[in-house]
Amino acid sequence: VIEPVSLLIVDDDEIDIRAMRRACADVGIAAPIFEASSAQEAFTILKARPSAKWLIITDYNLPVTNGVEFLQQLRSDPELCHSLVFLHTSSDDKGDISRAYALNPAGYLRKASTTEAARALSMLIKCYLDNNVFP
Amino acid sequence: LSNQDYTPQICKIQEDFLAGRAFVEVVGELLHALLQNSGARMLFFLQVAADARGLPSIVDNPVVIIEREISSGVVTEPSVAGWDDRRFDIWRDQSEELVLAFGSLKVSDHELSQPQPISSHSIIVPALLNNHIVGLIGLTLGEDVSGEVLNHSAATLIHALAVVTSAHRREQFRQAERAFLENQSGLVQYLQEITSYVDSNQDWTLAEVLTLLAEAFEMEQGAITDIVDDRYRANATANPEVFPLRETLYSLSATPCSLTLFEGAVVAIDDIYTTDNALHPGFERNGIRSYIGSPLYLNGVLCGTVLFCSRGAAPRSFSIADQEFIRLVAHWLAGQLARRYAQEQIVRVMKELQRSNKELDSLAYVASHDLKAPLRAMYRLAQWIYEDSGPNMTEQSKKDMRLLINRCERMEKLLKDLLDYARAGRIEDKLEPIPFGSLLEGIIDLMPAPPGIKISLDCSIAELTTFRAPLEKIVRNLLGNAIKHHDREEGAIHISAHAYDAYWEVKVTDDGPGIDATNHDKAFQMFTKLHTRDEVEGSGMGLAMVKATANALGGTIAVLNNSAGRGVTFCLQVPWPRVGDYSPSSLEAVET
Repeated sequence: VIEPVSLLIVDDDEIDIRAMRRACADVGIAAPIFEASSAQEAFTILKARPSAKWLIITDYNLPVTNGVEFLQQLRSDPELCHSLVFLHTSSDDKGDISRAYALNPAGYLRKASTTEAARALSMLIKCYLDNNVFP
Repeated sequence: LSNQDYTPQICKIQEDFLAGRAFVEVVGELLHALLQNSGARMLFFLQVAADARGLPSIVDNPVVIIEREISSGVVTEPSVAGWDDRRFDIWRDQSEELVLAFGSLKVSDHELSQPQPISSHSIIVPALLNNHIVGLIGLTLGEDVSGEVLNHSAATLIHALAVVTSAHRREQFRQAERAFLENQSGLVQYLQEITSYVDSNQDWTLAEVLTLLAEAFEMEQGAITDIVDDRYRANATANPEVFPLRETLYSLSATPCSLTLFEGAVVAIDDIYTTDNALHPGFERNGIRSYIGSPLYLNGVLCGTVLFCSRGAAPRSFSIADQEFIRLVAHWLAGQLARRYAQEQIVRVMKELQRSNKELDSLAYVASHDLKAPLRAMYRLAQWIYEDSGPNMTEQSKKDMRLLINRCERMEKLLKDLLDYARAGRIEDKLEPIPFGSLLEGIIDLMPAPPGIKISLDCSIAELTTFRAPLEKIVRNLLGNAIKHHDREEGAIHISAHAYDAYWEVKVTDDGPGIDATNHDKAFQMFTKLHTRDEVEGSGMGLAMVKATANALGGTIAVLNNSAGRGVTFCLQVPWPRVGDYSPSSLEAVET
């Protein structure tokens, strides 16, 4: 029996979250979607359900703690160090990318600028959820 | 005594002077000859010149005297007496009149121009040259001589001595002139040495130059000083180890240069103790005795001094050549300093420019990025509303929603172009050799064009070293414009690229609707469109950016109406680069 996986979207832009939700609905992702607008909020959600399985999609430019710092904190937390995390960002900065990959994220996804791209991105997430074995 | 008797004597005397014999010696010889032939008892001569007020004054201390001993009749050797010899005395009385005293007789200023009998057998007469007194001759004859003989003898003497004296003056003048020229040529040599040193050494320091100059003036110390308000500061010194200019910052009046600044001209002091300024604090406190200084004008503003000084009296008296020299040195140093300051200024301005460019860049980026985010949100929200509620909307609302979405797209494009334009003025990539033909072909191949539009290429430039990205941007924009603005199904666009003596050129010619000649200048202005947006979609920044980019390449862009047929030609011309046109960093890239 495969336990259901929950999706956690961490983004301080409400519209980006809305776009993500629309795109997920579009491609028929059934997993429950949780929202957090900061790394701190994300931790609260994760800690509240210690046994749940998560796929985390985090924005890079978060207030106070940015996406990479958030990932760093997850990796150094004994309970959450195995978290599967996609960075979701519009930054093409090579430094940002290499800093992110040093922390072994599941991927570095560029934010979609068109409806088609958003759809493709959510397709990717759907396939991932459907086929990936979570820890 | 007659003139003829002494002519050979006078000739010989002139020769003697030319041979460099001393004045006293030569005059003594003449007096000796005169005394031998005249039977006079005593002759003396003293030199006279006009003082500063034009009054006669005795210039040389020695008085040449020659006498015949009364008992033996033997003529003594010429001797030299000073004023301390009490037979002669000279002073200025209370009314400032020059008084010569010979024994009991006094002769005053106004009487000097005429022969003055001293006694029945003695006379004192002025030696006049061009109406100026050059000397006084005293003559004492024997007891039995008549007044006529006396006068005649005196006249001859006057003539002889006037000639001698003028010869002496000439010689003195010649010597002074020679010394001056030697001094001057020595100084010029120094200046040549210094200027060639400065020209060949970028890292020359003021201290080095001052050291060389101090040597030229035979002074121990040299300095350039700044005036800061009423304070005064040694900016650079030649030999601080020899003796330091004691304080680094002090009040202007307590400096040796206060004299120079007060005069506003060169001041040269061989020895301060012999001047009225012997107690000047600037000299006393620094232990300075000799000084030569000139004011330093920078761009016409008095900004300091250049000075040389020593603790002892000047080894050689400062000549006019020295004074002229330091004036020149001050002038030259001011030029060098102005150049140096200007260079420093350029470096500062360059840094400032780089900084503000960076700021502008980040401003343009931040502005476009931060404006883009809310715009993007509005765009998406409008789209979602249209997607979700479109079926329930009235036709008018649907049309309005489409317009709203379209305007959002326009603004997005505008922001992107604005960012591009902000960056167009600067070239960030490196110079590289570019295969011109294949670059242009590549641009044409990637350009989406309707099937009816044919694009042809005529490129005679094989390879060209320039900046790739700006060149591509220009050509792509011009070609894109030609396609976008074409008003017919069928059309021909021609790109040509050729090199000429002074420049290289890329032309894009179309057979589209053309641009009215009155609008040619307008075409390149920012946010200017010659069509309504509904006719041709665009932000109105394309050509403005092309122009900025062309300028950044060092070139120009122009638009011309085609002479035959319809359409326009855009012409990019870029002069061949000269040495120094590009920054070292872009040139480095060529070498690597």
